Amino acid sequence: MKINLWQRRRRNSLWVLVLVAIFLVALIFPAYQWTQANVKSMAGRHDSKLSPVILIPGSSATQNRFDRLVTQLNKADKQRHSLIKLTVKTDGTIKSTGTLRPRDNEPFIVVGFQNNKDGYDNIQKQAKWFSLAFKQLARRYQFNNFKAIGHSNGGLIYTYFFEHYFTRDDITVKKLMTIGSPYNFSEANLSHKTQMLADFIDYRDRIPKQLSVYSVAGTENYDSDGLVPARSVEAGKYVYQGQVKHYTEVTVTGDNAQHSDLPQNEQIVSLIQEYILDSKKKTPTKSLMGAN
Amino acid sequence: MGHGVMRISEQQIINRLVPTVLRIRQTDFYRVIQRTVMLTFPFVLIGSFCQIIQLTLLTKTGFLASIFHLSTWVPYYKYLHYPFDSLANLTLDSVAIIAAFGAAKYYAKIYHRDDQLAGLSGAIALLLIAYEYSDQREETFNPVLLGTNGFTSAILIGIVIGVLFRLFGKSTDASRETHTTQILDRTFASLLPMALSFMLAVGVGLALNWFMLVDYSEQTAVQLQKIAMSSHNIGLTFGLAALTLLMEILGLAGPLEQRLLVNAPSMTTNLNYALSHHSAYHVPFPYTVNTLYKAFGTFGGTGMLLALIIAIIMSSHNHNYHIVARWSLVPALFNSSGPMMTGLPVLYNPIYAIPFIVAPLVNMAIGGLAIWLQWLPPMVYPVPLGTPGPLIAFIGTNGNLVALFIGVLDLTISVLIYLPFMRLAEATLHAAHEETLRLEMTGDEN
Repeated sequence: MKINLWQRRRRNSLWVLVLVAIFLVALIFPAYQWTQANVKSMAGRHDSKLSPVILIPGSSATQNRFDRLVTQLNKADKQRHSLIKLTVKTDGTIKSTGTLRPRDNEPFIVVGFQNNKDGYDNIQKQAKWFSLAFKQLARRYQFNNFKAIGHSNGGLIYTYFFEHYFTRDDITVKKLMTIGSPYNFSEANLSHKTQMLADFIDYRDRIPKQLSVYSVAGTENYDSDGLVPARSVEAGKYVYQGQVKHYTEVTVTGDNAQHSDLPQNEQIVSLIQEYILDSKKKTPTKSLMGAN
Repeated sequence: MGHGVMRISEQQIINRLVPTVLRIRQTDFYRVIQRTVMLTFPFVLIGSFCQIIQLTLLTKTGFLASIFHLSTWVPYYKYLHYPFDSLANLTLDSVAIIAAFGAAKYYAKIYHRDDQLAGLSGAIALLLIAYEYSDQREETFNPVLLGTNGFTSAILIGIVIGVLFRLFGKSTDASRETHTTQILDRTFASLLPMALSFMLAVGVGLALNWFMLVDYSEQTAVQLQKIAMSSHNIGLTFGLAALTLLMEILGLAGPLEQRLLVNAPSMTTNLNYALSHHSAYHVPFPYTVNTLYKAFGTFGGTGMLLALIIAIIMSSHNHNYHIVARWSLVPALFNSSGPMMTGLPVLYNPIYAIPFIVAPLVNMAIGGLAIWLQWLPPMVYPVPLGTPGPLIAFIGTNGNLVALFIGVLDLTISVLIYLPFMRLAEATLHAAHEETLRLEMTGDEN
């Protein structure tokens, strides 16, 4: 009697065990397919030679903001980089123009916003919109590293993006250049920190550590580029210095050193060519192109 | 023939050990602990089911969600995890409070004190100790003392409260019918120990805040985890695994706790090497926490408890064991060990401490040996959250069949390691049952 009870109990338990075992065996094949596909896509991204330069314009500027810069860079770099432009609408949908030319490993990608107004609230929104565009770019082009350039508020959007949205460990950002970015808005006195600067400093430990940052300031006179105080650009050191691998401050003067002219300033063009673009020697594909 | 001899000697050992274990079981201390652990079981069970649903189905990187691409075709997928978040977090994070309640209640009950009030005082005392004092007007509690990590400290706090009730409270006769006046009498009889409990708890809480002891211990744990994650020395890997297993069975959070096993630097190095060379053989760090402990030592969560469940289902005679094993099977399949820890219970159980520590280490050694012989590459590729134990190495080696075979072999060996200890535990339970029957027959009350 007691033996019978025990056998029934054991039989019930064994049934549960058998069902779970069947379930487990049924999972083997889908699991196999998943890991094969996953490893393949990781290897694809890992092997990718693509290293785009992603640019964000400042407030009131559109996705066409960097057209002249790209033309100048192409001339100086003696090759035609592709130019791809994205606009993120306020509802999060993305419109894009331009294509990646074959064998171009260093395209310029400009991300503009339908709502390109100034202000901290908008910068937070734009960083969110940029993260959507970035997600789409990463999926479409499968790159494993990129370089970042932000003009004016574009640099602030990048800073907010790195602190709050950039969590991918399969993509690294190698370099960031902010051009005339007002880290303390129009406040010239560094002891008066704006809310935005205080927030940037609070979350600075989330910024990727292997990043090299160049902060370029333009000056018309000794303390401003006509719009942004040099002190406000300088405040970027409180965010980046000590957190990233290198933090370099550059001040340019002379022709086209006014805030809005900075992207086509000749010195800045050569700075981008020297510090941001990959040097030609290192990429064998480019020498191949020369042979064609 | 040899088999028969082994059986007999095993039986003899069991017969010799049962009285000793029985004596431990019958101490008040152990009884309080065991009842408390079992009080938390239903909460842990519900919490674990919610957690595995949340983790494997409703997290984008979860096991079932990944392999069936759930996030791409299930409608409103983004929002489905919300109810399970709150359910899983609140049931599992309340475990320490329930433990403090239970320990105080059961201790007070043994000495015929008001167990209801003692239990509630225990729970509040825990919250008072975990309270974080700050100038901001928000109530925060120290996460180290609450949740499953705070299990052991909660039981100790509960027992201290129980002792205060024993020393300063008055005996109550619970069986008598309770009128309002009697309830009031009982309340006032408990007022002194309650006040003392709360004062003591506030004092301890303030002292912890003042000296930042908890903060300090949290940081030591973080440091230990950092060392654990960055280690790729084979001796250190085994040592840390043993330490983790010992701490887990004592109800503390070890350095290799499940949720922390992500993104170690050695993992990234290994992955990049494998992706560059299109092969996972010869990676720089073949014997790490990830490639050995996570891949071969955590089937069914910490301590290879999936093996104990299978051992029970195949050969246990105990009704309760079967019930707990059945309910724990599905959570354990997705590496949630909570139900077995609290239901059987394995937690604080001296009998299960040995296989709990030995089985994972043996499995790691087998895995390490196979890697050394180059039968399979070390596991370097990502494995989704909540992947069933026997499939972890298979997925993490990009579908290597030898890895699957070793997974099954490890599980079988673990079942064999657990079997004799399960028989000993069962024999003890049986003896304890006989003992109570005998006491009831003779009319002797303890």
